[in-house]
Amino acid sequence: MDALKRTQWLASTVLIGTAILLAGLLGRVLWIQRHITDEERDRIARQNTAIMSLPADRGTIRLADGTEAAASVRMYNLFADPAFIVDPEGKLSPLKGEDIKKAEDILVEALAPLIGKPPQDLHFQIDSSATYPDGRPRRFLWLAKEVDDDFHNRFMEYRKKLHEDSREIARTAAKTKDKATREAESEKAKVLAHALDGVGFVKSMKRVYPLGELGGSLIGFANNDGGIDALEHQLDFLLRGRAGQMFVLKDASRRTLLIEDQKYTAPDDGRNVWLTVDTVTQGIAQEELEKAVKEHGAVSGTAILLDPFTGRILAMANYPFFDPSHFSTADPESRRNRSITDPYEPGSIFKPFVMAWAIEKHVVRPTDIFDCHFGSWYDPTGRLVRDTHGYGLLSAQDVLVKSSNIGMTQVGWRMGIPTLYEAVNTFGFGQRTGVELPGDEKGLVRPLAVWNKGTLTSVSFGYEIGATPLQLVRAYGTFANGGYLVSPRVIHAVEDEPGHTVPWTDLAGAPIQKQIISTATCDTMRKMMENVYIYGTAKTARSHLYRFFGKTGTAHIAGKSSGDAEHGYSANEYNSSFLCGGPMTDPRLVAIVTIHKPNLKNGYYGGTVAAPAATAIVERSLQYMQVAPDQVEDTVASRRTTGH
Amino acid sequence: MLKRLREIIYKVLSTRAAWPILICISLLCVASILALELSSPDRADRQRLFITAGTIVLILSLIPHFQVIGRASYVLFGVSILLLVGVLAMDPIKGARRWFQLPGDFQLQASELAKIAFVMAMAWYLRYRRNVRELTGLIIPLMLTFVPFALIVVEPDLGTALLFPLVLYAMLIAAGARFRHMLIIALIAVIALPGAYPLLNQYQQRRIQTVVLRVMGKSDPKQVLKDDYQLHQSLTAIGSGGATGQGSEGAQHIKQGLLPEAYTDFIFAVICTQWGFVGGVVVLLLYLAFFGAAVEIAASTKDPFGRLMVIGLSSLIIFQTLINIAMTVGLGPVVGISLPFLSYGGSSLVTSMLAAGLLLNVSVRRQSKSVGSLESTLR
Repeated sequence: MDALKRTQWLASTVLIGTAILLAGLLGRVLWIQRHITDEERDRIARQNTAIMSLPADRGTIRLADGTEAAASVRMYNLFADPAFIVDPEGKLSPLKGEDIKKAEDILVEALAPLIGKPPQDLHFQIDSSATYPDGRPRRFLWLAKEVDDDFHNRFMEYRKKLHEDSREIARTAAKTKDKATREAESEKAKVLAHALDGVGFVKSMKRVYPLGELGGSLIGFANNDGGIDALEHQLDFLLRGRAGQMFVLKDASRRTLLIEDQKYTAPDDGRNVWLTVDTVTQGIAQEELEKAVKEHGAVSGTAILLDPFTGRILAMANYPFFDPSHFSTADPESRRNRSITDPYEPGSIFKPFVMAWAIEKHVVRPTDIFDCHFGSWYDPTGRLVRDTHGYGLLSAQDVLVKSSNIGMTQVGWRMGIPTLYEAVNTFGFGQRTGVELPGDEKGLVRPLAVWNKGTLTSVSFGYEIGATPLQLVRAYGTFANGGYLVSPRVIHAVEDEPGHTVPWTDLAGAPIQKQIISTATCDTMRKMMENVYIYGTAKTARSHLYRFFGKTGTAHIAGKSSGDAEHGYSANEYNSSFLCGGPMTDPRLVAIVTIHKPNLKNGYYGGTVAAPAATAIVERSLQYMQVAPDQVEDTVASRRTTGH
Repeated sequence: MLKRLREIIYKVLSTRAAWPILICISLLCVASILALELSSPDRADRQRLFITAGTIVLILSLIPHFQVIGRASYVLFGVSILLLVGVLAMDPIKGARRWFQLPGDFQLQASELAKIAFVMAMAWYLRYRRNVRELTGLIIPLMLTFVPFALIVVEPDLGTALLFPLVLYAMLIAAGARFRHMLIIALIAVIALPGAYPLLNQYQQRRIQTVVLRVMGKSDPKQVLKDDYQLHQSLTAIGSGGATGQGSEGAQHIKQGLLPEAYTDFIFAVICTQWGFVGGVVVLLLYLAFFGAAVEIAASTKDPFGRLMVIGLSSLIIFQTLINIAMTVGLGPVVGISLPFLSYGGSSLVTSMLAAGLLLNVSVRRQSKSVGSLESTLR
């Protein structure tokens, strides 16, 4: 084989060999691409980009009149980079002893005039021993948290001025003869300006509640993580908004290179929400409620003012009041919206619903006569039923007006278990009201299967049943609006974009309004209950401006062993309640006031404790709404409705 | 002179084997610029300058007959040995003394020139020898190889140094050495290599360890990240390329310098990120075509010096390519070997261009046997 042939043979062998080797390398490339782990992919992405969150502003909650009840305010947090302050080059050199003192002094001197304190009262401690986990000195020091916009602006101006001053002084110093002092001043200005260069702001949001206690338990509380209580919690999805994102490219040393425009999403600020609650009516309700609770030495109380036609809640108050501004120190009990979360045995204020259903079902006519056995009677099962005052024969109307348990028991027995159960159900007890508030309780209604004759007697005058104040006032609203059971609501509208407001009913659907009793029955019931004010249990609370219809309730609180307990009820602890509505001729408002455990010394009857407050709430609200008075004092007209 | 240049260029362009070489070089240079635009835009501009300089060197290397160059090969080899000695007196850059500092922020890598000079000297030495068929005839070539090898190991630049015995091996086979002898040498080398292991620096040992572990599939990713960050970044970059790559927009991590030495030794990883597997295939096909054309030239060259020189130069380029890519894909230890025509660097590019020029020089004149006849051919 000569050299040339040999070379040719070699050439083909070598070429094929090389091709195989190169193919092998390509195979390796494929293998790498198949085997790259998600973790590594992520790491590539992480190294490149940093996602900066652009926080959305939380929506404002406004009352019906536009007053801000919960708003977000931009705050600034002031921090310093101690190393930068001391070292004009801004290098990452650890601070030494005298440098720390110098930095602290510079900060105090620079910030004292801004914070408005004399320098000797201000002290910043720069802890030089504090380090990052990798041993570098910490370059972060909080100076002040949650300073306002004004401080931020003043700081920025001051810093700018210092920079200009130091430049100005440096320029003039060269020209003037008195060099020494000028240079000293220039040096000082420079040092100050530099110190402030090492100070920065971090933005944060702070939730403020300008109305304080007004509507506190209704509005609730939110912190930086979101809504915690009540409406702030329930409407979090609307108020929160969506944070925007900014993708920032970083280089290997994680410096920001550029912001990617196409991946920028602007923050979607939270929606502003308008409530149905009005500042004035809420104020009236809270004022009257507080007065009643304090006057009667009670433990707590609730009040609700409702527009019976639309279901709009105009006021909802729970005493003791809750101020969201002092969330952390507030009693957790006061944070609860007890008017919807706490069902109680309503007692006599339940009687109108039983009576109305009896009339609606033609079981009872208002003129039917019941024997009330002078205050003490055994029902057909042999259970003793008592009245506080003994009455003889009473018409059905007077059974309600005088609030006779014996009379009502007879009404109940005439209806029978199925019909009475139907009444309870129809008026919405045992069901959620549908209000947009968290903790909307169903109340307690025993299932029909376990109802017995004893239940029949008890429910007839409002025991063995649990209802929330909101359920009661909602059911009571049927008498005012011609027999419709409305869905109560607190949200009026949502501002989906600035200046464009959408009614809540458009978003959440129209409220369910079902006629449950006839208009005639409503008229009858209103007329009957006006007499509660005229010669019934609430005579003292009668308004001089409007004709109202109302019903008192004084219910024993269950589950207490103290006092001379009867059937497990406490003899000296009561819930005193009052339901009222008006004006008679054209009802506009209904209200409930419940006073929990009034002090027995000052009277505990619903007519004494709750009726004046409830009446005042409705009366003052009607005045605020500029509803014409319909009360004609001491006229035949006012007497006529008392006729038999 | 100009007329002669024109004639030679015309002659080159009319040679069949020259076209694949010219096309491969052009495409690789274009790929180099594109990859550098992504990984290091400043260097892309300088690389354009180097390509221009390299092209001039290529053209100039065509002018003298390769026999004329061959006569000067011992002198050139001597000069390159002197340079290799001289470079040891320079200040180290990145811990190694490989470069001469030239005016205008340019560096000259002595070992790059030594590679060419070594191939030429070896080809000149072996051209008429028959004694390579005896084992004793191999002693002088081995000793000639050891001098530059040892000098470059001292720099230290183990990767480049290893090229010398490899190229020698290829040239000896081409020169007619017996396979039996070559096998014995190979066996001795394989046995001797583990013995040389303790002599290596710690970082060199670790690089070999990581390769062994990885090839055995036993490498701990966290440990790799710590010990061999460079390689890990390279593998991740290749992996992120996928089939068709991320383009110049997607490969942001390259742009931000997350792959160290992305512009020189790891430029193949950049290509795989930018154009994916397809890009890798195209680049390797270009090298294969280049090598194929070179082998074709060698096989059809009657002149022994020309043939041996072509074998030496083309094996030099293909060994560099194989070692570099094996390193980039994690199948070989990380050694400082550049990828011919692709990697950034003046010395490397000019040397590769010079090698290509010499290949073309041989291909143009391969049918002739003497200087005299060339003169007549050209006329």
